[in-house]
Amino acid sequence: MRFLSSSVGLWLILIGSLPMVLFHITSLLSKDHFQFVILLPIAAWFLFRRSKEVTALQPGTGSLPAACLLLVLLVPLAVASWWFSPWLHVATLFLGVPLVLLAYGGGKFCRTLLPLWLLSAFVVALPLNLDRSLIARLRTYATGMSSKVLDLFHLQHNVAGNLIEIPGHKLFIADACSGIHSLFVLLAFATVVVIWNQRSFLRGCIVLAGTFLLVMTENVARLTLIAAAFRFGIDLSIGWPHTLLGLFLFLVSIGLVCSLDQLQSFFTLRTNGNFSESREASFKAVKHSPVTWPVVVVGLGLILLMPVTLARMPRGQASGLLVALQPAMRIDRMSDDVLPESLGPYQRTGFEMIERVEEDPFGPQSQVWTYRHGDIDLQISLDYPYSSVHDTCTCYRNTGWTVLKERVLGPVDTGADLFESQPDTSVEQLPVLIADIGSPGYGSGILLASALSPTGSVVVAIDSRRLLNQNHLVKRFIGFEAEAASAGQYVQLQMIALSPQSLSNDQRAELASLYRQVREVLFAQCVKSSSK
Amino acid sequence: MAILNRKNRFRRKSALFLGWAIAVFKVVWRAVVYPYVWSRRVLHASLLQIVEWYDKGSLSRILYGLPALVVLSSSVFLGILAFSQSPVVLSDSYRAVARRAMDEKDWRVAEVCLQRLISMAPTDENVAFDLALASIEMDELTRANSLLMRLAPIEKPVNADAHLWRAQRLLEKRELTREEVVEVEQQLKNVLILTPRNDMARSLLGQVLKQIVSQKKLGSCWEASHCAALMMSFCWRNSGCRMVT
Repeated sequence: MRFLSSSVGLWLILIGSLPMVLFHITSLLSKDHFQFVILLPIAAWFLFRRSKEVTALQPGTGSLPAACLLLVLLVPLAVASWWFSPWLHVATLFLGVPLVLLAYGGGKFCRTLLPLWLLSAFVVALPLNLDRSLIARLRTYATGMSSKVLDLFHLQHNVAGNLIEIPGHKLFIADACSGIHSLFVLLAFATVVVIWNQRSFLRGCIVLAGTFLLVMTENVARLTLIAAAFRFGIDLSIGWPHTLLGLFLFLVSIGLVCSLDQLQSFFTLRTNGNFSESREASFKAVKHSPVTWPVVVVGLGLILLMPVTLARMPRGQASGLLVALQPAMRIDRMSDDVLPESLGPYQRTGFEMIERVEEDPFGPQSQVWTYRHGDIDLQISLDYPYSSVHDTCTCYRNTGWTVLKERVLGPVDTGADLFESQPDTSVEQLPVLIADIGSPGYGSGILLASALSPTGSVVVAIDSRRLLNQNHLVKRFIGFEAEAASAGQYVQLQMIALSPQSLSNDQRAELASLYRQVREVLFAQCVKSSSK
Repeated sequence: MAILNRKNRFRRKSALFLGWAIAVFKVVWRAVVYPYVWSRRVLHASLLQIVEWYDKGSLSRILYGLPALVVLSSSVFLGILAFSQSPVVLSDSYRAVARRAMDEKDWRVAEVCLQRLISMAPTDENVAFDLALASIEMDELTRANSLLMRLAPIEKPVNADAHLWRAQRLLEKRELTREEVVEVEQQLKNVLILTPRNDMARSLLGQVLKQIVSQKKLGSCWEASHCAALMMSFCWRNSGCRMVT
């Protein structure tokens, strides 16, 4: 009967959490660096079997205070349902697991399974899109460190943001090369090794810290090897050589994590815990009396919250995974005369189509028109496809440009970080991102940009305002809204005007007007091309 | 008495010498023996530690842990070496490679090295000018134009080489418009402001002004006299005389 009531509670929780957990998992799987989480249940099962073997897992008397504390979690669960926040829901469930274990089997039972609970932290993922900030930081670190190592070996190169230029080649350090993928996977693997070998918390932390260092070393080694290989005429930056190199270094890192675990156990001069003793101790007769009613109450609470969850669920927005599975956007090559020979005082000087690597900040494909007037060079570039709306200024910052005074033209600049046009918005009111840009090589100028969303609206995002925007911060922390709103395939149109002298206000106004004209033409072409 | 004094002096000197010799010996002894003593102590302690590890059955783990130890220690070592590189030495090495690459007309290498030098010292005009030349060779005309506009604006003298280069490029054209002639003249004047003894600039300016005079496009007497003065100064210098102006 007791078993039945606890099972009923768990089933109720599972059913009540299903929509949120599904949304969270699909959103997680849409990110490359979290796709390893599908392997975690298998690892957890093996680890559970091992802890049962080693410690003869036996539940004892459940803790009533912990069980009562479980009821408090209904508050964040209700908030998560009201705001439709899968992350908050999953994080609350994560915090609730030790309480459920305490309520079911007491302190010892909970302590035995606690390492497994820690492993599930990888499913919760970082809030506030901190994983993206981590990607940016790791990328900057990997680029800077690789540059120093290349200098050490007298391999001439130049670094511009996250771009390493070697004679004849430009290597953009994409997200995948930043080490974020290996970092999460190897940290999860190190956690599994630590749990399997029944290491103490401190020793586990030593292995995890060492793994972090190993991942950094692996990524610097990868970038340095790719750059150095060009000197010998070998291109390891694309295709199967790139994949093989990555795989080889990943396997080496896996071996090194195991080696690191042995190394720390050598220096700490301690063997594994005496399993037989703990097993014998566990075999001592313990009365099992779980406190199950709070679990049932929480489960019932979740079932009651389900209509709210379903009502608050965003309509007509696919989760991240579904968006990632959409076929890539194809826009036909436009001819150079899609834009006129002369654009205001500017004369066309060229047109080209550029193909780049998948994760290039300027998009995998671009169609570029160049114009000139006096000493002002004008470049109009249609870049696509992007999987989400993004700030063009970030792309320039990532490639070594200085970007200042980001602001929006068209709608009233309320200080928001995302501007999206409505169907009835006039051409003058459509948002345009404008910023001053500069580079030691190219001089200074202005950047004008906006994106065409999958729904046909014009969107502008300003990353630098994101962390400052309290409203967005709350939404990102507890809601799915911001993430879902940006999912889809986007086309970016940017115009840069470079000049040795600073541009006057009249020139800026003229360029903004030209940008709007060009946008009308090119976005119409894009809609026509993608609807074919 | 004299013998006694000599003996005392001898004793004093011997004592001093002995003291000095003992001090030197101590230093030598320490230098020779201490490393041995300390190495023996460290070795002994390490052996004891290894025996203890062996007793606890953890010695085999060092073999398994060796790859991680090697990788981590070598990456820390490389990291220290990488961060201790002197920026001046680095800049000099890039400068040398860039110069060699430009001499060998290896513009790809030159471009990368010059870009790196620019990122190290953005205000270095000579590097910027070399980068502009390399950019032209690499067909990076936007960057070349931007750099040259910065280095050789018409309205003010900035970099003599860049001004002269722009004037020469304009003069390579068969027919110059009036605006281009004015620009050439101004560029050459900028060169002469920065390097008054630049013979090439004087020569070119003389030719330009002569052309202007011959085409009767010269407007003012002052310009005519200036032109004549420049031509004279150039002829004077070429004939080996010195003119003080």
